Amino acid sequence: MFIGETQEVGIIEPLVVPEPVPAERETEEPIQRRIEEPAPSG
Amino acid sequence: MSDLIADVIGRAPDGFVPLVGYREWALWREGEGPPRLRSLFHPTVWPHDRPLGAVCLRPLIWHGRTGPGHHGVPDALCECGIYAFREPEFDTLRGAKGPKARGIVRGWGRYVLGTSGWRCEFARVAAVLEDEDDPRLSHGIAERYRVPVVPWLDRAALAS
Repeated sequence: MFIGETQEVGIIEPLVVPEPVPAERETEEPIQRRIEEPAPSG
Repeated sequence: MSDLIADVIGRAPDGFVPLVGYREWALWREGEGPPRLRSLFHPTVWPHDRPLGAVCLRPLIWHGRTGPGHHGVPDALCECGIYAFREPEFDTLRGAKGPKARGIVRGWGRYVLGTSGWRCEFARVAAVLEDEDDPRLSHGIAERYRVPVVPWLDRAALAS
């Protein structure tokens, strides 16, 4: 799929920071959900 | 522009204005239920419940490294990123075999905007274009991705 001649390069925020992606995965990766650690009790 | 199209395009997550594009996918059937959307050129299945994030495949495909000038994904001098066309009408792509589906996507993060399409860092399915030959399939995919179905006749409105 070609996008033609480049007209503009930029960033649309907010950026969503994905978890590190395993090397064997493909170019279009689902963003891994961040699993929050349970808060320590006591 | 119809209310449906305005609703699809106008729903920007978290208040920012995303890129709007049009894509074609292969259909990925796994177990029961409607198929999922799969990239035409890579075995990447688009998630139904969260955005898709891109990584550069150059180190994996060509067993090399990204160049020293490669800054993030997509990079203007690379071919990485999530692709979409800027207009709803485009020639079918010769990627995966079998049935395909088309839809509307929103893209954000880093982007490279071209004359006919764009590449971006993050994207999400926004709507499924109705398949005139199999509308039940379109509605099944839309239900799985929790997005509306855009009727064929509304394609003209998409370009306006």
